[in-house]
Amino acid sequence: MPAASEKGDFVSENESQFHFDCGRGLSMVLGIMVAGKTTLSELNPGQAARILAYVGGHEMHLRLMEMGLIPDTEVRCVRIAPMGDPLEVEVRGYMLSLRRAEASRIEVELL
Amino acid sequence: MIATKEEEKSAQRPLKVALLGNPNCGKTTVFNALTGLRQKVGNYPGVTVERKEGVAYTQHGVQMKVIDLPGTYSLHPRSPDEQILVDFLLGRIEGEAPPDVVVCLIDASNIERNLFFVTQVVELGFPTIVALNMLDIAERRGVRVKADVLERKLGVKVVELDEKDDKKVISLRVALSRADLLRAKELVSYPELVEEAGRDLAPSFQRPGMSHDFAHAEARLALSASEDRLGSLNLGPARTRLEIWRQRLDREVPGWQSGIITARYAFIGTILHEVVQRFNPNRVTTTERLDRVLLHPVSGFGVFAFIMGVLFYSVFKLAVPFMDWIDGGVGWVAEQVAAVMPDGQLESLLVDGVISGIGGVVIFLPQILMLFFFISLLESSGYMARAAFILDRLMSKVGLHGRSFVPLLSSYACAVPGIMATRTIESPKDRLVTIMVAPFMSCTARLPVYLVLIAALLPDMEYRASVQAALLFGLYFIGTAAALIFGLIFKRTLLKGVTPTMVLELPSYRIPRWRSVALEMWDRSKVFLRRAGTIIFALSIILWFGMNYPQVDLVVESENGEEIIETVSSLEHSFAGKIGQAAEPIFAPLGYDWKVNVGVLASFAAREIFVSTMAIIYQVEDEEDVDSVVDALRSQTRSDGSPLFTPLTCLSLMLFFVFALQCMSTVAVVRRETQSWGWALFQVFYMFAVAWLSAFAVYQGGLILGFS
Repeated sequence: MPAASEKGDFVSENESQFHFDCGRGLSMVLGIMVAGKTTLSELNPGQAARILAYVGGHEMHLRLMEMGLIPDTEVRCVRIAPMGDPLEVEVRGYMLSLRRAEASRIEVELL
Repeated sequence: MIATKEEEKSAQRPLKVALLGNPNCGKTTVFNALTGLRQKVGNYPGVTVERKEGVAYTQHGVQMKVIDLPGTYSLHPRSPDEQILVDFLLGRIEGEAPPDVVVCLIDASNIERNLFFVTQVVELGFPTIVALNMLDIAERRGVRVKADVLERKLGVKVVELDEKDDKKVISLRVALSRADLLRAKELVSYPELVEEAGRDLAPSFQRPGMSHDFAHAEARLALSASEDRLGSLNLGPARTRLEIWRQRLDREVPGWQSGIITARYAFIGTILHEVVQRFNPNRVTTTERLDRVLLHPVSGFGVFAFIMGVLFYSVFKLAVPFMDWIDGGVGWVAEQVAAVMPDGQLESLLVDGVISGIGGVVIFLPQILMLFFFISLLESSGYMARAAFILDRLMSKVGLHGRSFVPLLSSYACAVPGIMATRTIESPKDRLVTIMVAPFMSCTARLPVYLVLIAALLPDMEYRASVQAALLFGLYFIGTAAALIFGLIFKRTLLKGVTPTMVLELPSYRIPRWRSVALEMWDRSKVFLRRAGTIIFALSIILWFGMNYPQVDLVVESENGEEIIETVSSLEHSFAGKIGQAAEPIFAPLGYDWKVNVGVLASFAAREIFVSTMAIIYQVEDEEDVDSVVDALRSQTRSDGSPLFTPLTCLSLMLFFVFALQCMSTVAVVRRETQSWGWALFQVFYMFAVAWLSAFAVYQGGLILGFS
């Protein structure tokens, strides 16, 4: 885990690779994407990220937050289900599965 | 005055202990260890949430009543399970006093998230015991929990459960013996406006004998309840005040709800530094190693297919000898009764009505036991969540949940255990959709009907066996397709609404506790026999009565040539026969005559009855022999002399049997599982409509196209 001071460097370094991976991402087309910023649903297996914020909706977020997915928490995409959905993520030392539709509303910053 | 009465009561009744915890924290194992076989399974009034209660003893022999509450992740009521939990703790359920002691379980290997719920419960201020479970798994994961530090931080008693001693849970029993259990204080500070709202609303929540702090806590919980949950809270005038406060909070403290959640996790974060000692953090866990195989795109499906194959084979095939034993046993009892009792109506009622009726229920027992053996095994080992994970995509395409798969598959064997297995689906709507379509899956009871009709349909020809097999497969396929199509339709119409999140924890793999597996099987069979048994029992008597009454006087010639009058049962004149004739307008367009109607109507009790009823109606000597039944069917003619069981009639009948819900056991179980006659009857009617329409389309369409 990079210390807070290294964070800036780490992210920008990752940026080019990220563009390559998720070039087709809708978020990019819309131009919201800043350095290393993406959604949880776009992570590749093995990639870690830090939760930034929730977008849209309301009620569901509280449920996910209660499960430990609160902003500033580190998450790791463990794997994607064989048929492409749902995803398995590691958060606070346990494994959680959530659908892409839900994960796409969680804005994260790659680590 | 009231208080003294309450005190008197509490002196007499046993200590009431509530067992709480996250899902997958090993709660069931602890509950079983505490109570053993002294358990009672029921339902909370008006909801489908299961209520499990058992009798246990403290280490000093004091009797306790332990309630196993549904496992949840939060105290904020957002689902029926959570609502029941909150209502229970706060004493809002009628006839249910709040608990005296609360035992909160923690899965030590997942302590951070478990503490979220635990701190919520602790703040309610009950005398509380926090029990650390699965310390061995935590240790293997490099997590060591210091119970004494946690106790100091939470302000309530903390005990460690020894995995090797999970039969006795002595540390918990010892703690329960103590009279001086601590009540905790507030652990997390709430925004001032939330506190103010709580203080303002508390009097509306206050009930006799309830402390002010408690009312305050309850008001605070209600503030963050979801919209549709609030409706069921039955608040009366307080509802408006609550709404006003919610709006004010949303306006003045934006994100107050998420703020409280964040504050709680922040508190947990600070105490964890001292409570938990981490070591060896980069080790790959056994669970991860297993998941690499079990969730792999290729081997994952392979293992899943294998497990399902074994499950299906066991329920379909391995249960058969046991079912034959039961069948034989019931037959033997019937014979004994028939031999002992004098011939007559009472004998007929007992043998043909009661004994065969009960036998018809008990016969499902081996399949139910077999299925729940597997389900309990898969559930407690942690595999069930994985199966849902790899299948969720497939099932979500038809609007269902990954967890709907096993119940639907089980329904190929029998819809009764299949519907009982829907309990593993957490979302009530997904569960209801699964229950509504499960009986479309062709169960084993349809098989004898299919076999007889296919045999009657096909002439002796080349490749007969292959064509038979293809037809049989076709019938299974049509049923399955109907289940998926109607699943989608219900999901889009009747049970529309926001798709609940599929937030599924993938727990660590665990070796199943055989004791818990056995208890689960025992529980399920008890529930099935008791509830379904009573309804089926009553209906079989009605059916017997309908087939035998009213009796007719028949003039017969006795041995010495005199004419005497004998009172006998006659199908044609019985209520059933009359109903069969009355039903002609309904079934004639499908190509059935009144005798077939009797068979079809009788099979609404149980499908396989069709074969034996037709055998009785056509007076086949040996009704066990399929060939003689088939011969009898083939020789039947309509009043104009044309054959009755034409290929078209057979196809129409088969389709009717594929779609119609002809099974009292299923209706009884649906009624039980949905807690509603409405849904049970709706299911009977809509499936009847589908059956009728498709049989009608095939028969009339076939006639128009010139087939016979």
